[in-house]
Amino acid sequence: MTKLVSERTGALVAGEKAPTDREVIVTECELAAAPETVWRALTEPDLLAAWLLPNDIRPERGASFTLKSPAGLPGERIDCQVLDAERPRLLRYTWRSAGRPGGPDTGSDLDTTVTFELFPTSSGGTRLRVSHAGFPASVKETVALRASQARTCGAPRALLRAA
Amino acid sequence: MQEEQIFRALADPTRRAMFEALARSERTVSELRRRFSISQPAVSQHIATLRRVGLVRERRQGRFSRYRAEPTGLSPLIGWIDRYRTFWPERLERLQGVLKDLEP
Repeated sequence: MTKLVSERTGALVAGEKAPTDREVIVTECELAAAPETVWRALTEPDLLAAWLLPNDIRPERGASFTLKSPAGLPGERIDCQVLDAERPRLLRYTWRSAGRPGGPDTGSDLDTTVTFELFPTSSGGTRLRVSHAGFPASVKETVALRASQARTCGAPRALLRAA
Repeated sequence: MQEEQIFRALADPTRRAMFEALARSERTVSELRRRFSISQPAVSQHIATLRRVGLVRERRQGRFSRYRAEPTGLSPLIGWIDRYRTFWPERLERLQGVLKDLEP
């Protein structure tokens, strides 16, 4: 049987840009299917639509495609561009919420990146790791700062430094 | 939708950096202008955008206004991230079902 084995979050330590100011959501699961089969489910539009979102994916580096935005998330679509496609090991694309129902097309909102890594398991299955990166880590920092700000709110700068 | 406005406000790298600077300490417009090497009107415009979406608040001090990040302003964004935290496990469970059909 397959099941979700872990979900964790943390600072992205290895990245091409801004390595310390982004947060990543990592979800891993073990799948009974072989990497080739999982790859098909990640890259064939009909199969991908059956579990992720309606799409017109083309798993070629540089290719652009669109996912229909899920209910409850902002934007009416997700604009994607393939950054890496190495069958059947690695698929990485940009994930950019865009557009608003009933409003003007406002272009990109917050850019994030989704990486699918496929590792073969000894039993012939696949361990799939999905890393959704690019969430502003300032969210965390700011929440952490809330307490100290409450203490020093309205205080002169000198006091702020001494605190 | 409030969270989309927040996304748009933070989509600009300068504004995002400005917000992060204001989360660390309170600053005036001229302090921000020096830090970011952009014109005063540009700083004021960025501040206005951040204030409009509730990410920054103003404190008048004599002739000057000082600005700092409003931590609760990020709540919709935190909600957005939390939704993705549940989104991926849900979708991967569906993927398992799809794979079962592919490999009976």
